[in-house]
Amino acid sequence: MVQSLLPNILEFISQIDPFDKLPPDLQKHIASSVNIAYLVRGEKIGFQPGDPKRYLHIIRTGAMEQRMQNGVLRAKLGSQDLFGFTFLDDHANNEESYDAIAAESTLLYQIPHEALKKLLEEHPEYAEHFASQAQIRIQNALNVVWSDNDKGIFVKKVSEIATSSPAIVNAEMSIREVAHEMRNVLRVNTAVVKKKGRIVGLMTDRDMTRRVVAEGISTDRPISDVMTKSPLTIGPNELVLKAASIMMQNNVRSLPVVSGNTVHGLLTPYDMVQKNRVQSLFLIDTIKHTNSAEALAELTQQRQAIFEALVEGKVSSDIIGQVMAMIYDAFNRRLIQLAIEKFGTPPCKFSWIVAGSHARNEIHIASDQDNALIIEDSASEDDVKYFKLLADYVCKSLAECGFTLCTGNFMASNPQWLQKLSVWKKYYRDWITSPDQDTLLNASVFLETRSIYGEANYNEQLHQHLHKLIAQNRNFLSILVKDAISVHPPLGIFNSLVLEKGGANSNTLNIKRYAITLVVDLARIYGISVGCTSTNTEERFRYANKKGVLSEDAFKNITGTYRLICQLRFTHQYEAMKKGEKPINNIDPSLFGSFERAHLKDAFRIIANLQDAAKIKFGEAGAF
Amino acid sequence: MKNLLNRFHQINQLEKRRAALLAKDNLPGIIAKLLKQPYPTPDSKLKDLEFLVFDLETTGLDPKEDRILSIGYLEIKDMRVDISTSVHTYIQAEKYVKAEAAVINHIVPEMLSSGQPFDEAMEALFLAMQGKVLIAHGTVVEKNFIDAYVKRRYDLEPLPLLWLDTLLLEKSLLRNKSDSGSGDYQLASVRERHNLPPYHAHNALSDSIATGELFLVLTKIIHGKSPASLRGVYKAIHDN
Repeated sequence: MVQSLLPNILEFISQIDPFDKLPPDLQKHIASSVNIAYLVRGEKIGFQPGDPKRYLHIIRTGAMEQRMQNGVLRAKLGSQDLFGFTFLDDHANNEESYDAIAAESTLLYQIPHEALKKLLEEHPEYAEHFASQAQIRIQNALNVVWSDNDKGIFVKKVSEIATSSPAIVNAEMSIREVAHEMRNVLRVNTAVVKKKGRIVGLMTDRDMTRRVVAEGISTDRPISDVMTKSPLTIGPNELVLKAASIMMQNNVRSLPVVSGNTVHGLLTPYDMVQKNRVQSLFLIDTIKHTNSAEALAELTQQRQAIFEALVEGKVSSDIIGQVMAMIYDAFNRRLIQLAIEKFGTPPCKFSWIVAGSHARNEIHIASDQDNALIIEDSASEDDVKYFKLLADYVCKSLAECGFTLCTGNFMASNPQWLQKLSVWKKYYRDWITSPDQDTLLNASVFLETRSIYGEANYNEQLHQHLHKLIAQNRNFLSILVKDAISVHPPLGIFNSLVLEKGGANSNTLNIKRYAITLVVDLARIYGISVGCTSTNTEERFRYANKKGVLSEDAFKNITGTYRLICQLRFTHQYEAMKKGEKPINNIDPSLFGSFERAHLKDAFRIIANLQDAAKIKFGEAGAF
Repeated sequence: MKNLLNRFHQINQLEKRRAALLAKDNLPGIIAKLLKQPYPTPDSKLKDLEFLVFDLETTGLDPKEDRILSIGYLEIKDMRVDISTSVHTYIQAEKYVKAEAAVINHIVPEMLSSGQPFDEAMEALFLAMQGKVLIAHGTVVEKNFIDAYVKRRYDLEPLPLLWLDTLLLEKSLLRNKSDSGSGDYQLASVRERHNLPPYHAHNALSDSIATGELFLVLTKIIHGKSPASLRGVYKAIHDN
């Protein structure tokens, strides 16, 4: 009765994350427990662990600042923002205590800790939304987005589309028995091989042809002699998209759908084509068979359509980055092939490498070109001229396909980045042994490279060279750190403090510069410090965690954060494209809803914390 | 100095009258309960006091002619408006509701027929008032209706209750700024002047909440960050 008469408070609370995730009766329950307080500018709410009167605070009107005990700004908060999560946790420690100070007159809705705790005990399914740790809240934010997975064709679960069942055979059975089982009993083209209940192998009819018939192997031999050992499998709850990328990357035609040692079915390209137009597979295939640069450029629209489908389907950011990178690779490789058709067989060995985000497989729709050529040391001047022609053609054609030219000219068409292997080695030596402001940018672009055509070994050699140099020159790491922490995440963004001034993008947040790059830089530092060979941002953090330089907590925090900010960028690019605008990195903060705002603030704080940690760990003063 | 003593007197006079009335024989039980607790001294800090913000929705302004349709109230403790103490009740009525009152208050006869009996609702209100400083926006209406009820039901003169009026508080603040003001002291307008969010009005409880918030704002304006005393607020209201 009384609850229904609180429309003002209820209406406000029910549209704010995470309360909007609660059912209406719980929203009412919360609304009816609220305390309302009013602070004038400068008034302070102290947060001390163990304080008996604790609240989760919601800013109704006004603005607050959170400051750490040492006075450092923790966050700036405005209407609809929440604070006091940390101290919902009884185990919050002293280091986390902070003050919340009113930056202007502020009306607060305060939800007593006790009331919230009781409610969440009765309804534990909602507890995670109110988790005290930012990491859990961010993870939860991603989950909420993920759960909405009926929209996109990419986000169907494997179990939804895998209809065929493989034969299940025993490892001791003969090849003939297995073939009989496959052909005559079940009429399937794949058998999963088990030994003592465990999945140990896979056999397809294609394997029968290649490994048995063509090799003249006796069909009396056990199947375990010819099967594919330790086969790739996919879980029933995994995404079709993940299955597709596993199949493409490993060049396999079918994947058993497996949980533990239970076989649920078999996923084949037929399933995917029939029931789900996995467009990226088609596009990559089409690219391979396109015969001119002009025709390739016409596929740009399809690439955009795939990007839109991925974002629409709320596919997680790391997968979007990978799929877009696979497509990018396909364009790039095909153009190199077309260039070779045009200019003739390469006169010597070479490797076309990609760098930066392309090397990291973190591609978005507006990614530009970062590429270079490594050529054999014995190459003549004429040979170099050949590669210059090839590079000009490829870079120009890539631009026509929508991969814009690099503003920093980090491209194979730039003679500086079309060099012999020995010159590349010298470049790296110079960058690492005597780094300065000018060379640091070059170094940071080429610290991540990946060979996509030609002698992959050249790229490997450069990597080994690089890791050796870094191991010998630890000073380089501290210089990287100094550079990486020179830009701070904009903790006060929603108070228009750190927005870009002037120009067409005035008063917007550059999410690449102020968030994504900061995380990528940190990943590089952590990855390099432990000799991680992967260049992927998440992989680097994972490896650093495994090697013990990044705590489990910090690892989860930063990877959750990275996905969140990437997802924000993808979403805003998508929305710009829908409106016919150019997808860029600048976002108008007024477009953020309370959901995005709250999580972006958590994200910025996590980045700032890791910057501080990196400074202490790897900075000049740090003991390393 | 003389003013100060007067004010001192005003609260103390109320306290004396309260004690005297309480000592009377044959005082109805509910009124005795209402008046049981001594009033705070003028130097009490606001944050140590308990307030009851309340609002009546009526068919008109004349307690002889008009009737109470609904009552809403809630407590302020530790200078926090505590929604969990909210009470809202419609007053039972068989007869029709004045059409215009129904429009303004969004109260329809169905709500009233299922409402609480009037005496029961008033007794609950009196119990809630016990030991509290009373707050309303424009206390005249609430005061008159309560006085009339007490007279009719118990044949008692107006009770010595301790009232604070946010409307008078706002008036005095505007006068201090030598601003003649718009003359618009409606709750919504005053809230807007102080940048409080717009609330749906004309429900006894939501108006009580809106008034409670306004009270927090106005006392902060008078006292800023320093802890406010009852004397200061009382002075602002009654030095007109």
